[in-house]
Amino acid sequence: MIAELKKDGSIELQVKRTLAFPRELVFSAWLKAEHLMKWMGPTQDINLGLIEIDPQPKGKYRFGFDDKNCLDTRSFVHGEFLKITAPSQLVFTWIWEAPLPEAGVLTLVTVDFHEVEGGTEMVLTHQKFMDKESCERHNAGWTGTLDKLQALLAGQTS
Amino acid sequence: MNYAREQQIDDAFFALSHPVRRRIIEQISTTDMSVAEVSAPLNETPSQMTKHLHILERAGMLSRHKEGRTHRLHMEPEPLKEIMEWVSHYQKFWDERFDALEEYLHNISEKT
Repeated sequence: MIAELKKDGSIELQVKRTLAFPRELVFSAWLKAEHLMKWMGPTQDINLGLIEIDPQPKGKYRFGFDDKNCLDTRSFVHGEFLKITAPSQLVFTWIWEAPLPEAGVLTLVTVDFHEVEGGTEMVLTHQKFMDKESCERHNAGWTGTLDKLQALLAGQTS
Repeated sequence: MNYAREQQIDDAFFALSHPVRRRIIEQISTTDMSVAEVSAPLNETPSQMTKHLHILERAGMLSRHKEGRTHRLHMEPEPLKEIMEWVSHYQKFWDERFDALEEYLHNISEKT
């Protein structure tokens, strides 16, 4: 598991994947609605039922996910593009909407696209911040992998 | 927004941000201990210890059980589980998206 608690009290996870396709193509798949409809949405359980996207800095997006097992519920996520550096980096906020348990929680997604032998390596970093109040009373830091936490949980006798 | 749950995760992050509190959690993760036992290897004043234990309690990571005249400190795993769940939820989410993206790119390049 690649996940870390950062010094500023945020928590982040990283997912990497090397794709056998040119960087420009992989990058554009993140910003064009006709591409996104085909991959952000359909997995075994989820369809992308709604998509609004304004792919420019400060542009907004909103996705509506339909759960295939629960067709009358649509889960919305929205955010803003903070950085669009074609074809190497995308930075955007990611905020679920009510009534989801995570609604309103500001998270940040950074996707880096590296040219590597045989294609493009995508490195996605998803970060959750502490709320303002917690940040303010947060004075000492810890950077460490969550493996440590996992180990602590595993050590639980209960 | 499920404020209570979010607050709990944030409190857990904060609680873990101090090396002494991490040592405390590590110590009581395997067995319940008294305050004296937990304090022994740590170079902290009693009032500092009280503060650290209070922060861990507020974060829901520690509970006290009375045993005669002493308190036994017990680690509560729930906040740590919440953190792990947040991480594994998004890891699964993005892994599945990446699978779908890979498959999609294969499909469109076969057509051209």
